[in-house]
Formats: sequence, C-alpha cells, structure tokens
Amino acid sequence: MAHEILTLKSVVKRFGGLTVVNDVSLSIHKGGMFGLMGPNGSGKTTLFNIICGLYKPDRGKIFFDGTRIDGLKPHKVFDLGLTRTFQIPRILQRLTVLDNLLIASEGNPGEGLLGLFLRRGAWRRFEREKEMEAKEVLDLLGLKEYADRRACELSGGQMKLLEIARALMTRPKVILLDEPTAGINPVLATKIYKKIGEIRDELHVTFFIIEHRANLLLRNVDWVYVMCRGRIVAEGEPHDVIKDPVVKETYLGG
Amino acid sequence: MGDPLVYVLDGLAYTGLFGIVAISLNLEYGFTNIANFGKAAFFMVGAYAYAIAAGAGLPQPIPLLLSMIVTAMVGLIACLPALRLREDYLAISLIALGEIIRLIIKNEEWIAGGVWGISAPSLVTITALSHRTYLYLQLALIYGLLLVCYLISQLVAYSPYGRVLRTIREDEVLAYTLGKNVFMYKAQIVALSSAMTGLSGGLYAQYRNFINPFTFDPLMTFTIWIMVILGGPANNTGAILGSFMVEFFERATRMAKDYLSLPVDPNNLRVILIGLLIILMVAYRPQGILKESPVRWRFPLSGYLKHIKLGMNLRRGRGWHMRS
Repeated sequence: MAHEILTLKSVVKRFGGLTVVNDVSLSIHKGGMFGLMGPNGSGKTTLFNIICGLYKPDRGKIFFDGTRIDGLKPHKVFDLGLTRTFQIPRILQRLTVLDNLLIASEGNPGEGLLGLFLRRGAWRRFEREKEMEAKEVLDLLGLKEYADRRACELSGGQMKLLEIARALMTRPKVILLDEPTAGINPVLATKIYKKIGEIRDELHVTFFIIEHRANLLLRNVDWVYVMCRGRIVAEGEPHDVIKDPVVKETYLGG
Repeated sequence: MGDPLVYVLDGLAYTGLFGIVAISLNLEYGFTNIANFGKAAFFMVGAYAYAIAAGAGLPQPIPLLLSMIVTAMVGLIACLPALRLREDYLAISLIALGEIIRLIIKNEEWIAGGVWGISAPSLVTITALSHRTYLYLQLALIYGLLLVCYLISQLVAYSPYGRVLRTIREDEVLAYTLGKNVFMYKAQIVALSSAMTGLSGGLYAQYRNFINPFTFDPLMTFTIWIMVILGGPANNTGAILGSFMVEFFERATRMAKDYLSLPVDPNNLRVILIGLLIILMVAYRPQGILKESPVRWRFPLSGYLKHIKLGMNLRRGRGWHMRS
C-alpha cells in the first residue's frame, strides 16, 4: 500500500486505574478508507480524542504525515491537516448552512479587527472564493439547495452531512469520522457512505471511521480494526475480519 | 419649559445617547453572548472621565476621546479576569463592580465632588443660541456619533469577524477546535463596546452639563438590557428601536399620568407596562421585534444603492441584463 499518513505506536491512556486504551498500534495509509469497530466502551472515541489532541496519551507515539503529534494542542493538530467530526453533531444552529462551512476556512483576513477595517477588498475577495468552494462541497454532499437556510432547519442526517462538509472545507489530509450514521435510517446511511466514497475518490482524503453498523462498515472500507477493552483484537480486510473467531465472539455475538 | 417641542427634542437626545449604549451591549450580548451587566458603570466612567478632563481645561475633543479610552481600559481590566467566569457569574461580578465604582465616586469627594456632583462643559460652545437651536445642534452631534457607532457595529457584525463572534455565541468549544482564539475575540469586543459606552457617557455629561452618582444606579443597566431584548438581540437597528421605545414609554407615561386616574400610582405605570411588554416579548417573540439577519455582508442601504447604480446604467443605455 501507499505510504503511512497516520501511525500509532503502543498508545496507552489511563483514567485513574482504568486503562481505556491499552497498547494500541495501528497505521492508516494515504487515500485509504479505514474502519474502527468494537463494542460500546471499548475505547474507540477515546482513541480519536487522543489522535486529535484532546487527550494526551500516557505512553506511546503518534505520527501524522511525518510529524510527531502526541501532546500537541487540538488546533495545532488541526493546522497540520487532521480534522474530525463528533458523534453528536456540533452545528451552529442559528447560522446558515453556508456560514457553517465558511467558519471553518482558515486565514480569512476579515477575521481580525484590523483586517476587517483596513483590508476590506482582501477579505471580500477571500469570502467570494470560499463561498464558491463551499458551494462545491455542498453540491458534493447534496446540500446545495439548503445553503441559505438556517442549520436548525436541517434533519438529523443532513446535520451529519453538514459536519462532514465542514470538515472538508479545511482541506484536510485525514478526516476522523465518529459514527457518521448514528441515529440515521439505513437508506440515508448507505447514501452517506456512498458520498464518503466519492469524496475519497475525488479529493483523495483519507478516512478513518468509527461505525457500529458492521455490515455497512465492512462493505465500504478497505481495512478494518476491531477494538475490545482498549486493545486491537483483530485487523485485516473486511472479509477476513468477519470470519475471525475472536471478532465473532467479542463483537458480532458469536 | 413651556415648549413641548423641547420636551420631544430632549427625549430624542436621550434616545440617541442610549441608542449608542444599546448598540454596544448588543455587540457583547447579542452577537458574542457576553452578559455585561456593568453597562451603567462603564457609562458613568465615560461621563466622569469627560467631566474631569474637560474641567481640567483640556481642549476639545480630547475629553471625549479620553472618555472612550478610559472606559475601554476599565472595561478590559474589569472583564479580562471575569471573562473566564460563566456568564451568570460574570453578570454578578460586573453589577458589583458598577456599584463599587459608583460608591467610591459618591464618597470620595476629592475625585469628582462626591454627592454634590460635578459640572461638565458642553461641546456646543456657540453662545447666544435659542434653546431650541442649541438642542438641534446637540441632536446633530449625538446622532452623528450614533451613526458612526452603528456603521462600525454593522461592519463588525456582518462580516467574517461577526461570523466568528456568532460561532463563539453558539458553541465556544467548536470555535476553539476550529482554531479561533476565543478569548482574544471576547477581549476585543469588550474593549470596542466599552469605548462606545464611554463615548455615550461623555456625550451625556456634556449634554446634561452636570452629573452626579445618583444617575448611574444599577437600574440604568437593566433599562439598557430591556432596550436590547425588546428591539431584538443581534440586530443593531433593533437596539436603536428598543432605545426609542423605552424612552417613549418613559415620557409617554409621565405625561399620561396627568390625564389618567388609575387605581395605581401612575408613576409606576411605566414599570408595569415595560414589565408586561417584556413578559409578552419573551413568551411570544423571544427573538425581539427585529430578528437576527444572516451574516452575509450587506452595507446598510446597499439595496437602494444597487438601484441607483442600476438607474445610472440604464441611462447610459445599458440593459438590465448587463448587471446581475
């Protein structure tokens, strides 16, 4: 496979006496679609929080695109090109869908008080460019017609899509998706995965996805990691993993 | 004061003065969700800064500028530690601050005359004017500066900057994760808003010619909050409208008491009516009379300006389709 963009080496995280992530090593390859599954409480979201910098690991190393990122603050990791979405979508309800995307674009001269007054032409040009870009992203996710609506008018599934759209606006190298289809009907869930696949193909973004719906995940990813009680208990291509006796026992219920 | 017009003009002057404060509170509360309950204190700081500076013989407009700068600094010093508090604690600590400043000025006679107050020279220094003309000049001054504050606030609110403010209001954690320096934004808004409040305080002092600590009680803060809540939080035009409405209620009820015989003390009619209005507002139209408009930048009146340009194009023989 292509070169590794995200590598974890024996990452450990303890909360008091509880070891939530125990000696996890894994690697994500550029342009791939990677899955992470496991029962509730197995440490999946904690692992994401460690990767994106919200938690500092107790032991182990994390490399992102050649840089060591464990211990960096979230906005630094974000600047390097690693974005995540949240299990419960964090949407700016009273702002328009378009504004929800534009807020994620970096380097807007109009976001500083001086630039706002002194570089009007610059930021208005910047806004126009980003607006075009945002509309393309919305088009890609089928949200274009909602661009000027307030975000609170969207359905739950559309909010999930909006989160992915916002993540895309930052032009990330890797997106961590935390349960992109939680609470979404199967038809839309399938559609969301189709979109994710299209984005991967068009923009060459790497995805690392937590998902509870085994069938959906296994159908869509190239490689899957299975976590249980803080450890990676199995990994491999989907059709191999599904036959793994350990996985059957721990996750699929025998 | 036999002239009813003078009464109306005086009311309009107050509307303009409090309009500036309401706009500044709107920047803090409406767009950024900073619950500043110290508005009366900052207003007072501006007024006293003007009175002391002008009394010391500094040439105009330095006293007015000083009232802005001093208030902005007091605002920053007061809010920097307090901004880390949750909003309800921030509100209480700022009310306390306001009372502390007021009591110091009231009791320390050497600062500014204590309970006896202090006189403040007017900015309109042309002598031998009729009272009415004097008021017109004052109104021009106040409303000119109100317009400046309004335009600045519009630019701040309807711009990428305003989008960040609204993001902070909706979800501070998200603003952080998107790489925005939330604390810096809050500090800037507090400074800007306090400067406007100070300006209004200075204008108030020179308009009244005399100030004393009793004017700036905490009730004034609540009056300004009522203006913003009525007019529409996160809408600058609404803040001015709210200021007009509250001022109108105050004056109208004061006049109405001469013509009404009520089972209650007519002096309290204003409080009763405004209280009722607030309850109805919050229950049936919490977004205020004028609701928030989207971030998309729009210069005020730009809709009309477009038509003017369009008209010019038509006259030059270009068709409608040339634009758009």
